[in-house]
Amino acid sequence: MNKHHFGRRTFLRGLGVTMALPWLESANVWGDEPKKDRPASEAPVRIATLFSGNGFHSKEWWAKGEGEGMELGKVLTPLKDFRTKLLFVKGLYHEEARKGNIHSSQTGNLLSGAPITSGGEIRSGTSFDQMVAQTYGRSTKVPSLVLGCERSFPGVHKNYSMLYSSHISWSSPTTPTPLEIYPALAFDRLFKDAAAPGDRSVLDAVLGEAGDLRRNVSQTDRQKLDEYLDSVRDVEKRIESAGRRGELQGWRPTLDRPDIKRPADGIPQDIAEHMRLMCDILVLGFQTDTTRVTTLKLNNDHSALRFPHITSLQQPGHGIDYMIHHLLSHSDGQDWLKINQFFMEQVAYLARKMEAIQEGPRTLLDNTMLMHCSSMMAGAKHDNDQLPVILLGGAGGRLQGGRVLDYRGKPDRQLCRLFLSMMDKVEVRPKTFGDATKPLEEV
Amino acid sequence: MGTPPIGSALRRGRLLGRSVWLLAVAALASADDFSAQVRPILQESCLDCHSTKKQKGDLDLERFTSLAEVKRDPKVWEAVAEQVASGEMPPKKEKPLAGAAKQTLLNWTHATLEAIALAQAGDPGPVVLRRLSNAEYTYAMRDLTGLASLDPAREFPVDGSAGEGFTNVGSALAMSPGLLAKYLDAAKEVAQHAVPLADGIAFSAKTTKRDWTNEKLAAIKAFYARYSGTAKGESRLVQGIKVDVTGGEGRLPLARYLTATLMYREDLRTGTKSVAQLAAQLDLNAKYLGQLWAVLNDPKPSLFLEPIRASWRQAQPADVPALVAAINAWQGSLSRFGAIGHIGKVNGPAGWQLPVNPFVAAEDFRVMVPEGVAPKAYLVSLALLADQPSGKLTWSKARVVVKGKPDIAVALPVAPFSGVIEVTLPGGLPKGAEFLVECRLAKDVSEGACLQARVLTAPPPAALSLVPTQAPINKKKGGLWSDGEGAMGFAAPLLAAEGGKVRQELLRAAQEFREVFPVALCYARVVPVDEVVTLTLFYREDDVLQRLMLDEAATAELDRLWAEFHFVSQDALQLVESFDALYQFATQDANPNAFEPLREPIKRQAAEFQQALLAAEPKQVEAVVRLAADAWRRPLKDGEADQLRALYRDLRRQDLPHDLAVRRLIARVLVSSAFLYRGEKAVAGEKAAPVDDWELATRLSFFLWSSAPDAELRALAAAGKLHEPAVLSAQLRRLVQDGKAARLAREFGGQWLHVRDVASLDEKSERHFPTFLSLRGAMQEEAERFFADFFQQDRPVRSLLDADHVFVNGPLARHYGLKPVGEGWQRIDGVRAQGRGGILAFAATLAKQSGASRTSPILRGNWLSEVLLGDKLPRPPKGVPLLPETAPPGLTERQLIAQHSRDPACARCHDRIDPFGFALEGFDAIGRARATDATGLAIDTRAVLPGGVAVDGLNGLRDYLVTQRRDDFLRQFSRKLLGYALGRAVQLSDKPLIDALVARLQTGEGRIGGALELIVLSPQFRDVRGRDFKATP
Repeated sequence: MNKHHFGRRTFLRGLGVTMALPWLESANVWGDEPKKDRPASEAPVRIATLFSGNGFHSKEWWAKGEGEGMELGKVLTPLKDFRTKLLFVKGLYHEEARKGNIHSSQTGNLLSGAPITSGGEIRSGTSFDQMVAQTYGRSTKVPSLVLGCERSFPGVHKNYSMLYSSHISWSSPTTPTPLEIYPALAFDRLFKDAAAPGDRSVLDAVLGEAGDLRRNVSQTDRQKLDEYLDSVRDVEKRIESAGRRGELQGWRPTLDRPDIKRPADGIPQDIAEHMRLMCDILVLGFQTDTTRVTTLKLNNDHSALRFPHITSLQQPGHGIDYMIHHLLSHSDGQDWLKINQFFMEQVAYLARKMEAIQEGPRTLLDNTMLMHCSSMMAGAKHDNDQLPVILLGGAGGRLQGGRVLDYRGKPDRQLCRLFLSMMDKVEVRPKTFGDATKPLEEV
Repeated sequence: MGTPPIGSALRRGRLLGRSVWLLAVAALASADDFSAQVRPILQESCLDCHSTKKQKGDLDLERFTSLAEVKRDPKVWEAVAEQVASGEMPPKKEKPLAGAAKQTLLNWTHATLEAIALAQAGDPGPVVLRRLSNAEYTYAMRDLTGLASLDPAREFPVDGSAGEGFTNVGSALAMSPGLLAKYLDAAKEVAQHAVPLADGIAFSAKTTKRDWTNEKLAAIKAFYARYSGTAKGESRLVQGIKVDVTGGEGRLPLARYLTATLMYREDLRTGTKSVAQLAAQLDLNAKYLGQLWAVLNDPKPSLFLEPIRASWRQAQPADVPALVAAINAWQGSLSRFGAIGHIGKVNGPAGWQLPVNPFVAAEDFRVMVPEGVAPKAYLVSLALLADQPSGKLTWSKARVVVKGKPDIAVALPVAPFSGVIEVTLPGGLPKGAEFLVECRLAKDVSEGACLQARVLTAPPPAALSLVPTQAPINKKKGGLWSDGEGAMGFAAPLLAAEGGKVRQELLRAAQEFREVFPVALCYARVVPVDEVVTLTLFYREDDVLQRLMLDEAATAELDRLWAEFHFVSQDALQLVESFDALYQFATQDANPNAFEPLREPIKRQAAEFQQALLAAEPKQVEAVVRLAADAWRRPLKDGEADQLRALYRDLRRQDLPHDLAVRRLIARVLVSSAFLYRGEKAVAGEKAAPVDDWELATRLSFFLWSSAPDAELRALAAAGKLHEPAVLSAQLRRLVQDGKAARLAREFGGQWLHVRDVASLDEKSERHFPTFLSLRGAMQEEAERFFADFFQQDRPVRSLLDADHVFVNGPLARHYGLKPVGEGWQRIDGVRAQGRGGILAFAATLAKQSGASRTSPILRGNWLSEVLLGDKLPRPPKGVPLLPETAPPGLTERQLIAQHSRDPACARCHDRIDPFGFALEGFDAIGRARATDATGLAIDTRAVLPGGVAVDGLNGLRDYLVTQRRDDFLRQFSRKLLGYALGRAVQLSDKPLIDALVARLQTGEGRIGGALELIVLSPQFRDVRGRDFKATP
């Protein structure tokens, strides 16, 4: 990616600041980026990044074999229908994430590989999803959607702010991207027509004021003011028509407005329902091409989630309510495995929905890179010498599933290399990212 | 060239000499002369081509049938005078004007123009409504917000220039929908920098709450750092994690103060120096220094201070470390630090820095049994008061404890009240064996009894003395992370009867010590990390700092910083979530009830903060209303404030949250015509009238600062005083002295000399000049620094040409062959002798007026002639062949030009411009001195200038300009400066003012300040044309 692709507007949109005036000279603002590697008639590649905290069961996160013959550990069984589209990546890690303590310092840089500051200060690195949002993401109304199913904790744990363990997505080294945990507001963010709220009123007011001024000035000055007034009127007109989206060249999304109702206000009582709704919104954002980058944090690394609706194997007759997620992970027992599977069911739900959406010759899943990752391998050990990562989907034909990639014992096994690979598939090509300088050839 | 040739015409008129000139005015400027003498000449020599019918070159001279018509369109006649005087007209191939006819025509034209100029002198001229130029917009935005980092116009299209060639002329500053949309974008972007505060808004370089919080935090830390010293942070282990308890920073910087009291002890004693003077001299806090001095010299006895005072009285400055160590030991005995993270929980600490009072009636001692066959323990008691009270001290329950074995009793002899008991312990015990013993004052002890008890395993010194009681021992072992503080023990406690007078005395003495020798002044860390899960987000404890060091104003500043910090960070709201998380975690492996006392206060404070947020909303709206007055550079008119408020309400009705509505309101202020344009009211009628004081303030500040008036100018405008000449002159001087006048240097100097874009000039051949890219920024900056110094130091205008100094940084100095001191920007004097000095030798101009790979004497000569001297050169003829980028083999660049200019058609102009360039051939295409050109041929810097003057090189050229062309140079400079100040082309009616400027600059030193004052006090600068102004006299 060239340097000039990271302009101000781009940057601000990446921050979620609605600054864009799409009718300006950038005529292709709704369309495709220049210098695309792929034809404009193809559906765009989408990136979904999912996270659940505290790793997985120490014995049951594994996969071997290839394609249909791939065998999966118990944690991954919910994904068995998608084996041919599953890339199981073993042995990648972040050097920086091993330098601090546990949880916060393992999570706040999970998507950036950046050094992380302790002592209650907040400094990490811009995460790869936001890097994509600030470039590739500007092609859509919403550069990126950053969702969560558990709100963030601002306190400090073992010398590191828990903002780190609550945020994997960072729009700048000092700013975790604000999370949307309310399904209704996430829905609004995508579909409420608020490209530039208040602009119309602002310009009206400005027009009135200049009109007053016009009466008291000389003839030549009046001409100058008219130049201004005409410009204001012109911009107003453009705002009116901005609501109507310009015609895309070639590819069009299969849905141009949401086909589900706006979710109810507030947060659903049931965590399963909460996650389900967020997954629906994620798919909807992709399907309508309102956004191409979504990051969904299913829970925090210091997670206080409980799962009363899931029956406990260890305490028969009860829900898994006796322990919050974070401490449950220390137990590494049957109930922990069940919760792992519950999270993987969310991934499977997403995959199933995406697979059902046909976008030309491919499905939405084929056009997506759906990553799920965690901050550590096994919650019982807090170990992050290798991180659990899976990728689902085809990235528009650029990603080959049904494989296990094992980087254990190999040099240069930085997780940031995987991010470089993923960014490469949407033509975002920084020279370096985090501690990596080259993508993974195999991905 | 778009500028009309007035200057040259006037200049030629001036050649007549002043007195002759006036006679000529009287004699020639009559209607009859035009008909009788001038029209026949026109008929004879001009009208063949410039008739109403033919209008060659768009010129119709036939239409002028009377003097009145000439007066209606004097510009045409300025051109006529110019063309005839220079010999351009009649053309060479036509019959020349007879000598007498030419003189008659010129005399008459000059006289007529002069008469018109005098009649209209002081006309404010046509100043078209000016949009702020991109530079002005940027500066105004920066000044308004106080954010030097803003660059809102970086994506704007480039401004056009007009008038005298500057970008501040209304007619060239267009507006378009595209640009307006960019203004809206930029206004919204700037609005993102607004930080909502409880009493209004402030601006920050950053745009997120997180970053604002960090900024406020940094401000508080910086405040603390002004007073306190640092120390190595001490940490404690909590569940295997080191957490910082002491905060590191925020310590009382004792050594510096003690050193001051010792080094200047005599001065302070004798009153040679007051405490305040000494504090100022040593950059110490006077309030604390005074208290410390008083305490050190206080004769009143105080148990813990006394030994310190005694040492201090004997001490020399070199003894400070020992003195500090002694004080530190007692500080550690009488104070401790609590963990802040859970302040407020059950049994939690009351604060961070806490008093320790190691005064007990009994103490359980526990020491490790030393290795060896017959290890010893020494039970030490030392009576502390001179008059021995009655009573008994008992040591009891002496035993040795070995894990997993029954205790071994140890027999003790009867103890003296004050003295040492030596006890022999059982030997050969496993590691970890401990000796335990209880020490207790008997019930019957008298009130006055006081002693220090210790248990040692090495023999005490023969003469016992009071020792620091040492840091308290936390007796608690194990427990949950939610537990509060346990009981404390002491290694060397002071025993005194409970409730007795001595106990009271000890407490008072300890307090006296802590008051003057606290360990820390404040919790400078602010963000605590001293629990496994630290609940408290930000912690303020600076009462000690306030008491010892701050005056009322400083305390108020600190309070304000903290209030802003809380408001911006919204920690009261965050704490609710933090608490919930902590509580949830505690339900799993600790006791959540420990935190129950915190629940209500946190909820209450959150609710209160919500109220505070609501209460702040109208204040933030009002802050934007105030901002509007500043942004619009005038008081708000009737109704304008209400309109702003109404817009805010309207936006809220559209469901915009408050924060966004305020930002849109700011955008509205900044995209307003009142901000983007420099509107000036014209009074009704034909006559010019003074602009009002607000408009005058704006004119002045945009002239000198390229930006809006500051608070002082606004205050003078509001008071209606600015138009008073003395006030206006004083403000002129103030503004020029201000750092913002560097913008005058950049905008005026840079645009006049055409070097404002050198920093981004990328036409140079990288192959020929690899160093240029890294130097071009410095080249432009040199010009800006030179002009800034010129204006601010009130230098003679001629010094622009013959200055003997340059401003360079290291790389540029080496580029010039000068010897810099370090790499930074510096002034180097005596550079004329080294072939530099003044604008002629700027690398910026020399490089700009060169080709990509070779010099261009033509460009340099043309620049010197037109830009510095104001010569009016004819346009080059069509079909001029392009010169090669590099000189062909065997030719110097000069010879290449000479060959080109040999054509007689070309020579007419080139003879006028090239020689200037030849004289500068001693500089290569990026301004380095050279003796040979790129191919090694010798450089020839000799030239014969127009008029036949022979010069050689820069020095010769400079001498020529300063002596023989000084008047032309000063006139051109005056004209450019006036054009820049007025934002329009200089016109005929400005001639008297230009004359006055030149006269002023020819007098005495001819300093720039005089010229600036003449301009600012001129009617042109202070008046505006009437609304119904008519061009005809």
